[in-house]
Amino acid sequence: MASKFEIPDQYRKYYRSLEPILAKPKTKIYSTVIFFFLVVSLFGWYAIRPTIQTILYLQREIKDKTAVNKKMDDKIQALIQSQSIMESIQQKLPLIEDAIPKNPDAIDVVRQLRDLTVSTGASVSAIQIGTIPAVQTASSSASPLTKQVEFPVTMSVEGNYQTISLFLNSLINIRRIILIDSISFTPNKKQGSVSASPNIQLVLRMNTFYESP
Amino acid sequence: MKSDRDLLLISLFTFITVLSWVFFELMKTTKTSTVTTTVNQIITPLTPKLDTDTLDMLEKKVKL
Repeated sequence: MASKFEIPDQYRKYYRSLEPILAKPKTKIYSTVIFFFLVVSLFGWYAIRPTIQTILYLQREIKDKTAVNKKMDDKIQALIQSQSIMESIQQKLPLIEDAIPKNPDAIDVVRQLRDLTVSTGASVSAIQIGTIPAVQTASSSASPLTKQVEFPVTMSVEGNYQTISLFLNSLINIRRIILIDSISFTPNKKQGSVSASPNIQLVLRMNTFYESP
Repeated sequence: MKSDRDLLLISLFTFITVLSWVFFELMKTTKTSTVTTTVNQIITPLTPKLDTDTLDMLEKKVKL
């Protein structure tokens, strides 16, 4: 009876032809080295790589989570400080809306400028409001964080030197933020007589702002 | 004999390729951050300072 582990007869001839080749010492060394490389490659790819990868991933995760935890702590501290600062300036917050309102409030700008001329004794020749953009344009702000939208206001005022001087001083002192782009002074030629204080016509090109929603 | 040497070279290059591949995979794992973009946005530092001088200056200005 044939043994369980014996090579079947039909394959025995192949094995016999291999036997002298396998018996050579050089082939033995070659085979050992070749199998060593192949086994290490397979073992490295399917066993060592996933294990070391998991170890390194977990180490990296611990490092990242520690850093995130520290940053979160710092941010919580900063938020607590911000909250206390916010509470301390709560009553001053409406000032910001006076300076930069949430709506264009163009009529209010005109009213403020008119009131200013009345209070300083100058007279308004013209006030013109430019196109009010509904949203912030790329040119209106350099930073994407700022949400201010600007619109132009042109104004023509007449008065003597003292009046114009007072008007300009008062203009830069009003709470609504108005940036003066250009100022031009021209003597009022309509005035026939030469008085002690001749009239000056002042043309102002300004920009004012509102907060975009 | 020649086929033995060829096989040895193939196995050697396979070994070197696998070794370098494993090395680069591990380097990638070490270098890649595990923190998500959302968490990165949340942990952006915040400076708890407010320009109160500007508010004081606005307070001094006239509201018409």
